[in-house]
Amino acid sequence: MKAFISAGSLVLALVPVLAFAQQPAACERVEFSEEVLARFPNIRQACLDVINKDGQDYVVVKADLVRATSRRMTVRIKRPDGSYSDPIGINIKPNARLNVDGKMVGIQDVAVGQELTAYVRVKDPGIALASDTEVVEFTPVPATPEPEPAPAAQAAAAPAPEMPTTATWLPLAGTVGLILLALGAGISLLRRRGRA
Amino acid sequence: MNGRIASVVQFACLGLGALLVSMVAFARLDGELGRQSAIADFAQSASAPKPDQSLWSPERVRDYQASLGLVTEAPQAILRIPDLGLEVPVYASDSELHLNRGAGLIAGMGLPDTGGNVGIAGHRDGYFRVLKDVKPGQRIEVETRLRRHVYRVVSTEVVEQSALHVLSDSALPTLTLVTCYPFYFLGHAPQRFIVRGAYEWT
Repeated sequence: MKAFISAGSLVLALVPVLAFAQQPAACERVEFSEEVLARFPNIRQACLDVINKDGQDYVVVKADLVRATSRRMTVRIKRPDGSYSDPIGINIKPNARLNVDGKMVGIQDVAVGQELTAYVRVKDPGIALASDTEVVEFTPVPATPEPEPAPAAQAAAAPAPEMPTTATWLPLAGTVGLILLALGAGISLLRRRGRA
Repeated sequence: MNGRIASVVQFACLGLGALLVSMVAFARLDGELGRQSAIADFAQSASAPKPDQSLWSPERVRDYQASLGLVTEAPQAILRIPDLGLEVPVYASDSELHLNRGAGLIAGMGLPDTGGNVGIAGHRDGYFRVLKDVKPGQRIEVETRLRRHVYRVVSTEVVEQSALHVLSDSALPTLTLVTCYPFYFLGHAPQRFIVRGAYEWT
């Protein structure tokens, strides 16, 4: 009985693993254009599902957020072997909502390192971070990633970073204070000896 | 007469010395209390329920986010290096006040939640003095209200104050800790000690 339970537990434990390892049938059937395959060579292996929107097929993949600004996000698609695609820039609308762990959240609630659900167009290179009615812009993906704007990009107005001043007057003041205390104590000692 | 002068000098030395030592002790105490209080406040605010913004307009959400940044005394994050026992609040700027109470984000560099090269400065005669013992591979945590970001130390280097390239932007998330060098030096140290951390994807 015990052995039976153990074997049953093992089978149950393996089910999610097998389910994960198994490629969804839709992913195996989908036909990618050469452009898409050139841009995402392992897209089929990364595919989790296929959806259709407005007559276009999109494969669903997981991607890690590399950079986030108010209008643009950069992601890397996760490959099955744990490696990542090159960074991909995606323009977004300010009120876009993204799929994070199955929950739709605003862009102000996502942070670098989070895993997002992304949607890659099958027929020609294009990617989005939302599939519902709040569709983000499907920006054509350049062959080489564009250089990102300045961090937190808020801006042209952002000052160029300067080397910070990371020393204080405290050690100097403390040292001078201790020297003065020693001097005062020394004078006091000498005066007492003089009186004696 | 000589005795009177010696007496005046003696009391002046003792008085001024005691004043300076007291000021340093007060500044250290104030900094430490501020650090502890900021960490406690951060933990409290992080656990506080976030307002339901599902019915808010995008403009109202943006204004709300902006208003959070206006509370300049509130730390933006907590920086931890467990191997060195370092835990300090990270404030929005590297002003003198903020660096006395923790560490500060370097203006013009990335932010922990938005990526790029995140620059954090600290006093080498204060909380960042422990960086003298930092070693490659050690874990650095930057906890914001949204996420706990983990970096691994990849390198350390000593650069001149003019070496601004260490602050330049990066495509992937990076952490740059900056403090003065040498660690034991009276006055403004001429160089900077740089710790580089690479983002750890989990």
